[in-house]
Amino acid sequence: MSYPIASTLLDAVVLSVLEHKDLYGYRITQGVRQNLDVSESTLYPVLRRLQKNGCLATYDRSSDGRNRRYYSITGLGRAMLRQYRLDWVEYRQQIEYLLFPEGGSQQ
Amino acid sequence: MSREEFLQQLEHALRTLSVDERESAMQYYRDYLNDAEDIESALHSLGSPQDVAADILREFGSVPTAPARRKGTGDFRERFSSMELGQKILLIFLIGVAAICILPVCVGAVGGLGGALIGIVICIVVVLFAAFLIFLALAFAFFLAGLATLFCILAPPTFAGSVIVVGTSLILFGLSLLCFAAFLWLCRTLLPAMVRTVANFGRRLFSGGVS
Repeated sequence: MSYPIASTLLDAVVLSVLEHKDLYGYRITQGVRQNLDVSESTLYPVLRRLQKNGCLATYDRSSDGRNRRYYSITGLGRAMLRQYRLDWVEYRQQIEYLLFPEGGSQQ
Repeated sequence: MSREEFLQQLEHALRTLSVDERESAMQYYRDYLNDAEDIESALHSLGSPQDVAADILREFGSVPTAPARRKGTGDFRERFSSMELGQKILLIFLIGVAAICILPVCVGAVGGLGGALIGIVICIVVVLFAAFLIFLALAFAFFLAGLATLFCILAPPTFAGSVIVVGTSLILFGLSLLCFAAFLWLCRTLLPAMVRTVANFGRRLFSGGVS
Protein backbone atom coordinates (compact mmCIF):
# COMPACT_ATOMS: atom_id res chain seq x y z
CA MET A 1 0.00 0.00 0.00
CA SER A 2 1.32 3.41 -0.75
CA TYR A 3 0.44 6.62 0.98
CA PRO A 4 -0.95 9.39 -1.21
CA ILE A 5 1.38 12.33 -1.27
CA ALA A 6 -0.10 15.61 -0.09
CA SER A 7 0.57 18.63 -2.25
CA THR A 8 2.25 20.52 0.59
CA LEU A 9 4.64 17.62 0.96
CA LEU A 10 5.44 17.76 -2.74
CA ASP A 11 6.07 21.50 -2.41
CA ALA A 12 8.50 20.83 0.43
CA VAL A 13 10.29 18.09 -1.46
CA VAL A 14 10.72 20.19 -4.60
CA LEU A 15 11.97 23.19 -2.61
CA SER A 16 14.45 20.94 -0.86
CA VAL A 17 15.73 19.51 -4.16
CA LEU A 18 16.35 23.08 -5.34
CA GLU A 19 17.84 24.31 -2.10
CA HIS A 20 21.47 24.27 -3.19
CA LYS A 21 21.29 24.19 -6.96
CA ASP A 22 19.12 25.53 -9.76
CA LEU A 23 17.72 22.79 -11.97
CA TYR A 24 15.45 22.39 -14.96
CA GLY A 25 12.23 20.39 -15.09
CA TYR A 26 13.56 17.06 -16.26
CA ARG A 27 16.37 17.00 -13.68
CA ILE A 28 14.03 18.01 -10.86
CA THR A 29 11.69 15.17 -11.77
CA GLN A 30 14.52 12.65 -11.89
CA GLY A 31 15.84 13.88 -8.55
CA VAL A 32 12.49 13.43 -6.84
CA ARG A 33 11.76 10.11 -8.52
CA GLN A 34 15.02 8.65 -7.24
CA ASN A 35 13.49 8.53 -3.78
CA LEU A 36 9.75 8.89 -4.27
CA ASP A 37 7.35 7.08 -6.52
CA VAL A 38 5.51 9.94 -8.16
CA SER A 39 4.32 10.09 -11.73
CA GLU A 40 6.30 12.35 -14.01
CA SER A 41 3.26 14.48 -14.73
CA THR A 42 2.78 15.25 -11.04
CA LEU A 43 5.61 17.72 -10.79
CA TYR A 44 4.76 20.38 -13.37
CA PRO A 45 1.72 21.66 -11.38
CA VAL A 46 3.90 21.75 -8.26
CA LEU A 47 6.62 23.77 -9.99
CA ARG A 48 4.09 26.11 -11.54
CA ARG A 49 2.29 26.66 -8.23
CA LEU A 50 5.55 27.40 -6.41
CA GLN A 51 6.52 29.82 -9.15
CA LYS A 52 3.17 31.59 -8.96
CA ASN A 53 3.27 32.06 -5.20
CA GLY A 54 6.83 33.37 -5.32
CA CYS A 55 8.75 30.46 -3.82
CA LEU A 56 10.54 29.75 -7.07
CA ALA A 57 11.89 31.96 -9.79
CA THR A 58 12.64 30.89 -13.34
CA TYR A 59 15.16 31.93 -15.92
CA ASP A 60 16.04 30.63 -19.33
CA ARG A 61 19.52 29.57 -20.26
CA SER A 62 20.43 28.25 -23.66
CA SER A 63 22.66 25.25 -24.02
CA ASP A 64 23.46 23.33 -27.20
CA GLY A 65 21.56 25.98 -29.09
CA ARG A 66 18.26 25.47 -27.32
CA ASN A 67 16.62 27.15 -24.38
CA ARG A 68 16.12 25.51 -21.01
CA ARG A 69 14.01 26.89 -18.20
CA TYR A 70 15.80 26.73 -14.85
CA TYR A 71 14.02 26.96 -11.51
CA SER A 72 15.69 28.64 -8.54
CA ILE A 73 14.53 28.95 -4.97
CA THR A 74 13.73 32.45 -3.67
CA GLY A 75 14.05 33.92 -0.20
CA LEU A 76 10.38 33.22 0.34
CA GLY A 77 10.94 29.66 -0.86
CA ARG A 78 13.75 29.18 1.68
CA ALA A 79 11.52 30.48 4.46
CA MET A 80 8.72 28.12 3.41
CA LEU A 81 11.20 25.22 3.28
CA ARG A 82 12.34 25.95 6.86
CA GLN A 83 8.74 25.90 8.01
CA TYR A 84 7.92 22.76 6.04
CA ARG A 85 10.85 20.96 7.70
CA LEU A 86 9.63 21.92 11.17
CA ASP A 87 6.07 20.91 10.25
CA TRP A 88 7.31 17.59 8.92
CA VAL A 89 9.23 16.70 12.09
CA GLU A 90 6.15 17.39 14.19
CA TYR A 91 3.87 15.52 11.76
CA ARG A 92 6.19 12.52 11.64
CA GLN A 93 6.31 12.37 15.45
CA GLN A 94 2.52 12.46 15.66
CA ILE A 95 2.07 9.68 13.10
CA GLU A 96 4.77 7.50 14.59
CA TYR A 97 3.32 7.92 18.04
CA LEU A 98 0.04 6.58 16.70
CA LEU A 99 1.56 3.85 14.53
CA PHE A 100 4.05 2.66 17.16
CA PRO A 101 2.28 3.19 20.49
CA GLU A 102 4.73 0.96 22.32
CA GLY A 103 7.32 3.54 21.55
CA GLY A 104 10.23 3.75 19.17
CA SER A 105 10.06 3.92 15.38
CA GLN A 106 11.60 1.60 12.89
CA GLN A 107 14.35 4.14 12.13
CA MET B 1 2.72 8.00 -30.30
CA SER B 2 5.36 10.42 -31.47
CA ARG B 3 6.65 13.43 -29.61
CA GLU B 4 4.78 15.78 -31.95
CA GLU B 5 1.53 13.89 -31.59
CA PHE B 6 1.85 13.97 -27.83
CA LEU B 7 2.45 17.72 -27.77
CA GLN B 8 -0.40 18.40 -30.19
CA GLN B 9 -2.85 16.38 -28.16
CA LEU B 10 -1.63 17.98 -24.94
CA GLU B 11 -2.13 21.47 -26.33
CA HIS B 12 -5.61 20.53 -27.48
CA ALA B 13 -6.50 19.09 -24.07
CA LEU B 14 -5.36 22.35 -22.42
CA ARG B 15 -7.42 24.62 -24.69
CA THR B 16 -9.63 25.82 -21.82
CA LEU B 17 -6.66 27.28 -19.96
CA SER B 18 -5.62 30.89 -20.27
CA VAL B 19 -2.98 31.61 -22.89
CA ASP B 20 -0.28 32.19 -20.25
CA GLU B 21 -0.95 28.92 -18.43
CA ARG B 22 -1.16 26.87 -21.59
CA GLU B 23 2.04 28.35 -22.99
CA SER B 24 3.87 27.71 -19.71
CA ALA B 25 2.77 24.06 -19.65
CA MET B 26 3.56 23.49 -23.33
CA GLN B 27 7.02 25.02 -22.92
CA TYR B 28 7.67 22.80 -19.92
CA TYR B 29 6.74 19.57 -21.70
CA ARG B 30 8.44 20.53 -24.95
CA ASP B 31 11.66 21.03 -22.99
CA TYR B 32 10.99 17.92 -20.91
CA LEU B 33 10.70 15.68 -23.97
CA ASN B 34 13.77 17.32 -25.48
CA ASP B 35 15.79 16.66 -22.33
CA ALA B 36 14.62 13.09 -21.86
CA GLU B 37 17.43 10.69 -22.51
CA ASP B 38 15.08 7.99 -23.74
CA ILE B 39 12.09 9.62 -25.40
CA GLU B 40 10.19 6.36 -25.76
CA SER B 41 10.26 5.53 -22.08
CA ALA B 42 9.60 9.17 -21.15
CA LEU B 43 6.48 9.21 -23.32
CA HIS B 44 5.50 5.89 -21.85
CA SER B 45 5.89 6.92 -18.23
CA LEU B 46 4.26 10.30 -18.75
CA GLY B 47 1.06 8.57 -19.69
CA SER B 48 -1.54 9.88 -22.07
CA PRO B 49 -1.62 13.59 -22.95
CA GLN B 50 -5.13 13.67 -21.49
CA ASP B 51 -3.86 12.40 -18.12
CA VAL B 52 -1.07 14.95 -18.11
CA ALA B 53 -3.59 17.67 -18.99
CA ALA B 54 -5.92 16.46 -16.22
CA ASP B 55 -3.23 17.07 -13.59
CA ILE B 56 -2.70 20.58 -14.90
CA LEU B 57 -6.39 21.39 -15.26
CA ARG B 58 -7.12 20.15 -11.75
CA GLU B 59 -4.65 22.71 -10.42
CA PHE B 60 -5.15 25.66 -12.75
CA GLY B 61 -8.30 24.92 -14.74
CA SER B 62 -10.76 26.53 -12.37
CA VAL B 63 -9.30 29.99 -12.85
CA PRO B 64 -11.66 31.73 -15.26
CA THR B 65 -9.94 32.76 -18.45
CA ALA B 66 -12.84 34.89 -19.56
CA PRO B 67 -15.43 36.52 -17.33
CA ALA B 68 -17.35 33.54 -15.94
CA ARG B 69 -20.96 33.02 -16.92
CA ARG B 70 -22.21 33.23 -13.39
CA LYS B 71 -25.83 33.66 -12.43
CA GLY B 72 -26.44 37.07 -11.00
CA THR B 73 -23.98 39.92 -11.03
CA GLY B 74 -20.79 38.21 -9.88
CA ASP B 75 -17.99 40.19 -8.34
CA PHE B 76 -16.73 42.68 -10.88
CA ARG B 77 -13.51 43.29 -9.03
CA GLU B 78 -12.69 39.57 -9.01
CA ARG B 79 -13.35 39.25 -12.71
CA PHE B 80 -11.39 42.40 -13.43
CA SER B 81 -8.36 41.26 -11.49
CA SER B 82 -8.41 37.81 -13.11
CA MET B 83 -8.17 39.36 -16.57
CA GLU B 84 -4.82 39.59 -18.22
CA LEU B 85 -3.11 42.95 -18.48
CA GLY B 86 -3.85 43.32 -22.20
CA GLN B 87 -7.53 42.71 -21.63
CA LYS B 88 -7.60 45.24 -18.78
CA ILE B 89 -6.02 47.96 -20.90
CA LEU B 90 -8.42 47.24 -23.77
CA LEU B 91 -11.43 47.35 -21.46
CA ILE B 92 -10.39 50.69 -19.92
CA PHE B 93 -9.74 52.12 -23.37
CA LEU B 94 -13.15 51.03 -24.68
CA ILE B 95 -14.93 52.50 -21.64
CA GLY B 96 -13.08 55.79 -22.18
CA VAL B 97 -14.08 55.97 -25.86
CA ALA B 98 -17.71 55.12 -25.06
CA ALA B 99 -17.83 57.78 -22.35
CA ILE B 100 -16.48 60.42 -24.74
CA CYS B 101 -19.06 59.45 -27.37
CA ILE B 102 -21.98 59.50 -24.97
CA LEU B 103 -20.95 62.79 -23.33
CA PRO B 104 -22.51 65.18 -25.92
CA VAL B 105 -25.78 63.24 -25.87
CA CYS B 106 -25.89 63.33 -22.08
CA VAL B 107 -25.13 67.04 -21.96
CA GLY B 108 -27.77 67.69 -24.59
CA ALA B 109 -30.40 65.62 -22.85
CA VAL B 110 -29.75 67.11 -19.43
CA GLY B 111 -29.51 70.62 -20.85
CA GLY B 112 -32.68 70.12 -22.88
CA LEU B 113 -34.71 68.73 -20.03
CA GLY B 114 -33.41 71.27 -17.58
CA GLY B 115 -34.04 74.07 -20.00
CA ALA B 116 -37.58 72.86 -20.66
CA LEU B 117 -38.37 72.73 -16.95
CA ILE B 118 -36.98 76.19 -16.35
CA GLY B 119 -38.91 77.47 -19.37
CA ILE B 120 -42.18 76.08 -18.03
CA VAL B 121 -41.62 77.62 -14.64
CA ILE B 122 -40.83 80.98 -16.19
CA CYS B 123 -43.99 80.77 -18.33
CA ILE B 124 -46.18 80.14 -15.32
CA VAL B 125 -44.62 83.00 -13.42
CA VAL B 126 -44.96 85.33 -16.37
CA VAL B 127 -48.61 84.41 -16.97
CA LEU B 128 -49.50 85.00 -13.34
CA PHE B 129 -47.58 88.25 -13.30
CA ALA B 130 -49.35 89.25 -16.49
CA ALA B 131 -52.68 88.48 -14.81
CA PHE B 132 -51.83 90.97 -12.05
CA LEU B 133 -50.89 93.59 -14.56
CA ILE B 134 -53.94 92.96 -16.72
CA PHE B 135 -56.34 93.41 -13.87
CA LEU B 136 -54.51 96.50 -12.69
CA ALA B 137 -54.53 97.89 -16.19
CA LEU B 138 -58.20 97.09 -16.68
CA ALA B 139 -59.00 98.78 -13.39
CA PHE B 140 -57.28 101.96 -14.53
CA ALA B 141 -58.76 101.71 -18.02
CA PHE B 142 -62.30 101.42 -16.74
CA PHE B 143 -61.69 104.21 -14.26
CA LEU B 144 -60.45 106.51 -16.99
CA ALA B 145 -63.33 105.49 -19.24
CA GLY B 146 -65.67 106.37 -16.43
CA LEU B 147 -64.05 109.78 -16.07
CA ALA B 148 -64.19 110.33 -19.80
CA THR B 149 -67.92 109.56 -20.00
CA LEU B 150 -68.49 111.92 -17.10
CA PHE B 151 -67.05 114.74 -19.18
CA CYS B 152 -69.59 113.91 -21.86
CA ILE B 153 -72.18 115.41 -19.53
CA LEU B 154 -70.96 118.72 -20.78
CA ALA B 155 -72.09 117.76 -24.33
CA PRO B 156 -75.73 116.47 -24.51
CA PRO B 157 -78.17 119.03 -22.94
CA THR B 158 -81.11 116.58 -22.54
CA PHE B 159 -81.93 114.92 -19.19
CA ALA B 160 -82.14 111.48 -20.71
CA GLY B 161 -78.73 111.98 -22.25
CA SER B 162 -77.30 113.03 -18.89
CA VAL B 163 -78.83 110.02 -17.19
CA ILE B 164 -77.28 107.71 -19.79
CA VAL B 165 -73.93 109.37 -19.38
CA VAL B 166 -73.96 109.19 -15.58
CA GLY B 167 -75.18 105.60 -15.71
CA THR B 168 -72.46 104.50 -18.12
CA SER B 169 -69.75 106.18 -16.16
CA LEU B 170 -71.00 104.54 -12.96
CA ILE B 171 -70.91 101.16 -14.67
CA LEU B 172 -67.39 101.84 -15.82
CA PHE B 173 -66.31 102.91 -12.35
CA GLY B 174 -67.89 99.73 -11.02
CA LEU B 175 -65.96 97.57 -13.46
CA SER B 176 -62.82 99.39 -12.52
CA LEU B 177 -63.45 98.68 -8.85
CA LEU B 178 -64.09 94.98 -9.68
CA CYS B 179 -60.83 94.69 -11.53
CA PHE B 180 -59.01 96.44 -8.75
CA ALA B 181 -60.58 94.08 -6.24
CA ALA B 182 -59.52 91.10 -8.37
CA PHE B 183 -56.00 92.48 -8.46
CA LEU B 184 -55.95 92.84 -4.70
CA TRP B 185 -57.25 89.30 -4.27
CA LEU B 186 -54.53 88.00 -6.56
CA CYS B 187 -51.93 89.89 -4.55
CA ARG B 188 -53.25 88.74 -1.21
CA THR B 189 -53.84 85.01 -1.88
CA LEU B 190 -52.19 83.87 -5.07
CA LEU B 191 -48.87 85.63 -4.70
CA PRO B 192 -47.99 84.21 -1.23
CA ALA B 193 -49.13 80.77 -2.42
CA MET B 194 -46.87 81.04 -5.45
CA VAL B 195 -43.93 82.18 -3.37
CA ARG B 196 -44.49 79.35 -0.90
CA THR B 197 -44.66 76.67 -3.63
CA VAL B 198 -41.48 77.90 -5.27
CA ALA B 199 -39.70 78.03 -1.91
CA ASN B 200 -40.82 74.47 -1.05
CA PHE B 201 -39.77 73.21 -4.41
CA GLY B 202 -36.40 74.87 -4.09
CA ARG B 203 -35.89 73.48 -0.58
CA ARG B 204 -36.81 69.97 -1.63
CA LEU B 205 -34.54 70.19 -4.65
CA PHE B 206 -31.48 71.15 -2.64
CA SER B 207 -32.02 69.13 0.52
CA GLY B 208 -33.66 66.12 -1.15
CA GLY B 209 -30.34 64.51 -1.91
CA VAL B 210 -29.18 64.76 1.71
CA SER B 211 -32.24 63.49 3.60
